[in-house]
Amino acid sequence: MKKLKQYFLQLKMIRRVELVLSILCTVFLLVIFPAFAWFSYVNRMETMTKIKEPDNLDIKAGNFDQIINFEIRDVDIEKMVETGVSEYRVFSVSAGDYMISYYLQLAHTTNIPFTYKIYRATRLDEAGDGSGVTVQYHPLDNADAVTEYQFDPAVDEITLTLKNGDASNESHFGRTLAMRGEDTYYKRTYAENDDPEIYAVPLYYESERIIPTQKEKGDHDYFVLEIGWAGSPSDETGFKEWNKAVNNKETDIVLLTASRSTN
Amino acid sequence: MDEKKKNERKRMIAIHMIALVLIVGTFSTGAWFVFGKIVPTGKMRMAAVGANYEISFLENGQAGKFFRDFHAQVKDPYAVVWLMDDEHNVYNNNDNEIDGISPGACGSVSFYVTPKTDSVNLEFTFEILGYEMVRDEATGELTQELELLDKEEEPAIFLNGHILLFEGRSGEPDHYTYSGPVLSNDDFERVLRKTFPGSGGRQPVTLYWVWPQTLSTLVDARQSGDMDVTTVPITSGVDYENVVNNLTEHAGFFLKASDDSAGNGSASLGALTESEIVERYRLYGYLYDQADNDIGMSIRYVILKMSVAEVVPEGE
Repeated sequence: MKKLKQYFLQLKMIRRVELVLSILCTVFLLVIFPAFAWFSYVNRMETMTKIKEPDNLDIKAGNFDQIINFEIRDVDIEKMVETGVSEYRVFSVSAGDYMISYYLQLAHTTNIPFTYKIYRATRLDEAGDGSGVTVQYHPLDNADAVTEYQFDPAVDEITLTLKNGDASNESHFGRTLAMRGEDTYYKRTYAENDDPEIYAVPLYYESERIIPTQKEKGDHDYFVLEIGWAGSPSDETGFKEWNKAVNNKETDIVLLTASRSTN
Repeated sequence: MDEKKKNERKRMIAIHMIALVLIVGTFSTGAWFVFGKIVPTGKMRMAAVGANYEISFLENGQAGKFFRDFHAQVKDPYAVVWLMDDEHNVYNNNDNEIDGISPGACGSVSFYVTPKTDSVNLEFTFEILGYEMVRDEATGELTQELELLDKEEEPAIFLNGHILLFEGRSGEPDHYTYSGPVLSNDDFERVLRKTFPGSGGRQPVTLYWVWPQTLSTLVDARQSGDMDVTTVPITSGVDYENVVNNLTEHAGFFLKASDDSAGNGSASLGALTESEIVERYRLYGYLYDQADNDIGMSIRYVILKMSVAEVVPEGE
C-alpha cells in the first residue's frame, strides 16, 4: 500500500485524475448492473401445479363389458304379453375417478309400442341379497358366463322425464308419440324441410341427477333397462290393433346415453 | 524512458485489477446475503424487497416435499419459486391429491409483507399461466418439454375464469363461501392493492384459489326452468355481483364459444346477462364444462405468478 501511495503521489496531476476517474467508472458499472438485475429478479414469485386430465364417463354393457354386449334383439312379444314378464337388459356406467354425478338419457323411436323403464341394480356377487327382481347377464361370446343383478321395482326405479311427448295423440294411436312442428326438440333434431314419418321422431327422456355409488375407484354403477308392452290389446282407440302382440314387428332404435351433470 | 513508461503502465493495470477483485468480492457477498437470507424464525425466506417493504414466504421445511421438478423446468428465470408449507400452495387441493388439480379443487397460497416505513401501499399482480407438453415433431410422441401457451387464446384464456382467487374464505370444506374476489381484467391479470401499516410488523397475506366445479357455483341458477339446479353459489352479496359481472363482461374467460355443439341452440357470448344464463342454464353450464374439458385436455401445468410494486395510494 505504501508503494502504491508513493506511486500515486509521484504521478502528474493529469494522470492522478485519469486514474481516479477510471476507478470510479468501474465501480459505477459494477454497482448499477447487479442492482438492476437484482431488482428485476426478486419482485416476482411463482408456484406451479399439474392439471389432471379429464375423466371419462363411460356407458357399457353389464359387468362393464364392451357395449356390443348390450343388445335388445329377440324380444318375444307374444310370450311377454302372455306371461306378463318384461324383458330386461343390464348396462353399466363408470363415472371415473372424479365420481361426478350424471344423467341418463333415453331416446327411442315409436314403431313398436314398447315401454321402457330404468332401475338401479346391484351385482349379486357384490352385495345383493336375492330379493326383488333378479336379472341374468351374460356376454354374447360366452353364454355360460352368467352374472346376476337384482333390483327392487318399488325402490330402485330411476325417474325419467319425457321431454317431448304429445299426449293428444293417445286417443288415436293409443300411445304418446313425439311432438313435431314448432317443438324445441323437433327443431333441434330436424331441418326445416324435413318430413319424417311420425313413428321415426324420437321421444326424449332424461333421468334425475344420479350420484355415483361411492365404491372403490374404477368400480361402476349398474342399471337394468326394462322393456315392457304398452297395456292390454285394445281396440278402443281409432287406430285398430295398435298394440296387438305379434312378433313380426318393425325396427325401433333405442339410444341410451350418460351425460355429466353441470348443475 | 520507454522502460519507465512500460513499468508505469503495468502498475496502472495492477491497481485496476486489485480494485476490480475487491469490488466483485464485495458484491458477491452482498448478493449471497440477500438471496440466502433466513429471517430469525428460521422458516421464512425473503422473496422480494423494495425500498419500503419486504415480501417473505414460508420456506419449505419438509425436505423438498413440495418442490417438484416442474418448478425448475419451466419457471420464469427471473422469479423466485414460491415455496409453501403443506397448507399453502397450489397443490394443497381438497382432494388431497398431489398429482394435480381438477374442477372442484381449492386451496390457498400465502406470503408475508414487512413494511419498512409508517405505511406502504403495494400492488400485487397475479397471473395464472398454462403450459402444454411439447410433441416431438418427428415421432409425434410427447416429450418432457413444456411450452407456455398463449394466454390470450383458448385454452389458456379459460384459466382466467376457471381458477379464481379470493381474499377471504369461510365455512366448511364442502361448502366454502368466498369473499373479496381478485378477478382477471382485460390484460388477463388480477390486481390486488393493499395498504400495510408499518406498526404491524410482518403481516400475512393469504389468497384462496378455487376451481369451481360447475357454472352454478358462480351463477345462482336455482330458479332455472331449464334444468333442476340446487347448487348454492360460492359467493354472496357484492362479491357475487362482482363475479357475475366479470363473467358477463369476459364470457370468453369462462365459457367455450359454441354454435350448436351442445344440441341446445346457439349461444351469443357477446351480450350475456345473468338472466340469460339462468334461463338457458343447460346450454351455458355445458359451455362452462367444455372450457373445463379444454383445460384438462390441453394444459398440463399451471403456474401462479405474483409480481409486486409499491404504488401511490388512490386519491393522492
